[in-house]
Amino acid sequence: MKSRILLAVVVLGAIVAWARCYNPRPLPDAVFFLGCFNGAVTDPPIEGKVTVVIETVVIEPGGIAGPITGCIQTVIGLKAQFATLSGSLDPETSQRAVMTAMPAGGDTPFDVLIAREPVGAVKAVEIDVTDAGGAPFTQAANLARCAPVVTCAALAASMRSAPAPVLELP
Amino acid sequence: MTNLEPKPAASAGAPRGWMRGRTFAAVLVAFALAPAAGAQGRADARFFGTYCQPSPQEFCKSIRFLPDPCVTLSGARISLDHLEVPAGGTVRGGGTFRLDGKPGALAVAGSVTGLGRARLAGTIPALGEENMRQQGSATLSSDGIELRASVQNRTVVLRKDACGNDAPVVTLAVPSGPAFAFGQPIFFDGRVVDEDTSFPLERMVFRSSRQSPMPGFLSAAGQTPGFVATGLVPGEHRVTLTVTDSGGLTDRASVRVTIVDRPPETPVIFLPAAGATLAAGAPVLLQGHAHDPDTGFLPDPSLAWSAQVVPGGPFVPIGGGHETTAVFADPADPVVIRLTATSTAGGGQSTAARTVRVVPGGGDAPPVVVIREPDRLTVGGSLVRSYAVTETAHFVASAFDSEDAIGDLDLRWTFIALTGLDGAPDPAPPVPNPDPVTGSLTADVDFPPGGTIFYRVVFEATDSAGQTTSDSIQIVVSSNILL
Repeated sequence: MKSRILLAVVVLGAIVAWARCYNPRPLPDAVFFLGCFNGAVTDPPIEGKVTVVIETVVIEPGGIAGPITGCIQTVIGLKAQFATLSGSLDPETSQRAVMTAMPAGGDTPFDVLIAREPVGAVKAVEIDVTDAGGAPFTQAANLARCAPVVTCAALAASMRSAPAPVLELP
Repeated sequence: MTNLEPKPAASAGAPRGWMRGRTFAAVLVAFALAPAAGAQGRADARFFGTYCQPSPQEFCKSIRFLPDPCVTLSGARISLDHLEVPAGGTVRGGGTFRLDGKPGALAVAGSVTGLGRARLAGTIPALGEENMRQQGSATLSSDGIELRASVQNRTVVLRKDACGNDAPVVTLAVPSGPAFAFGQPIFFDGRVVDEDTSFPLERMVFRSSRQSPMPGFLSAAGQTPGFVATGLVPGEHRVTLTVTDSGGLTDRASVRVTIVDRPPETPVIFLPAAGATLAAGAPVLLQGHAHDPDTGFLPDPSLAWSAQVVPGGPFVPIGGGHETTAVFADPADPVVIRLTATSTAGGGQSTAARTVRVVPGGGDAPPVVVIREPDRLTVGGSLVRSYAVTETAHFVASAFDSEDAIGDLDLRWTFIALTGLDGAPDPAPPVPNPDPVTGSLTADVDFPPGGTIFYRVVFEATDSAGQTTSDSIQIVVSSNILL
């Protein structure tokens, strides 16, 4: 009986400890990731383009910037893919965000790491997008801000109206 | 973490415990494991709007000998948007919630895997790096109001109508009608009453029960969506306006309209002239037009020519359009030439006929002539054009002969004052008739002032064998100028 009580106390203590894991805390400000960025796939050296739009920052109650959403379009060779993104800043730094991409059409989700540049700047001038698991490319570095600015809705609409991408042969 | 079981919503003061963050994430974000890779997605625009938790929901861990280790999820509010690409529909959004009274936020991304089904990935940063990302699934009720998000057999129910948002109230009217002539533009006048003062165009959808897509254009401002339909096909249409507000709540209203397709008016045959004598083996020009009361002058595909060369016999197709050329191989008398007009919607026909005779050709075909300008095909009635005496009247004709070149034909324009429209030549016109113009396919004439005078303009061509063919139109020249 004593052992049962002891076990109960231990488990109860563990549960209380788990609960304390859930503790909303101030996060680095994600709004500096907002915007549209595009550029070429840099690794592997293939014909590919990436457009990333970070569009929404869900504001935590209390005014702290929280999770972020957006979308990513990849055109690798003949295949164009569109996925929505959800993620958050790396808790350790305001320079990186980890995002999960959910592609349209039932393709396998993948993760990307987005780092904003230059380091220390308030607003991202460029971003680097790196595969963090399952992405169709390894890295797209130095994606510049889009001109003109594109929203996720506009990016999706452009895919509905645009012809299929054409592979440019060397 | 698999021994958690959902319980009914906790009542105030109910005992509860604490749980690990991973559990909260699993329950709250509630997204199930991904379906088989490569499954083809599809779009479902109902994954749109704001979904809220109707009442607090308690989740407990089943450890028999422990105090109730439960947590209460409340105030969950998630806004979703649906984006469609050729590969299928995608979902994105985010929201807020309270867990045991503590606020939190989440972001959502996803893809539609079927009608009312989506695979989602959620992020809750406050759970820490290890637990913040979860994947699961969601299903929609058939009316799109209820979203059930699930992970590991645990489900959170969210509803659009639990957000304090009133559904829009939509009305639709047609200012006139309900019967409209085919081809007539129809304005559908919609009104919306809602907290939202404006709506994106894609959230105001007009549909016809008979025709999809509904032809026309959307004209919307604020809470007044309108649609001008420009090509509804004949028959009864039930036109529905569906409006979705920013919270995803929807209302619709319908009206019935009937599109009537009236038959064309009796066609007019210009050529050949009534009672004309045509030569067998020689080309004959057929020219005519028809006016549709609903759509105006009919295009070429709506006009068909046929001929009956044996009394009581069948009509043989000989061509189509406003103008066509035919050759009668053998003499026949009488020959009935018929022009059949069919409405562009295919709902009605009307015909005109002209009786001519075809005589043996003398080995030399007569010329074929037609006055081109002013163009009688673009006007109704026998009066082709009105002129003021201050302007120069410009006439253009075309001529063709099988044997002779144009330069070898004797061309002649004459201008004959009439006693009135469709009247006989005036033996004593108020002013002298203009002099004839010869040797040209065109004529520029300054008519003398003399009040209002109807003229028959005649163009003739005579070939080297002395065979003459003519065409004529009626015009009016007026000295009365309104400034």
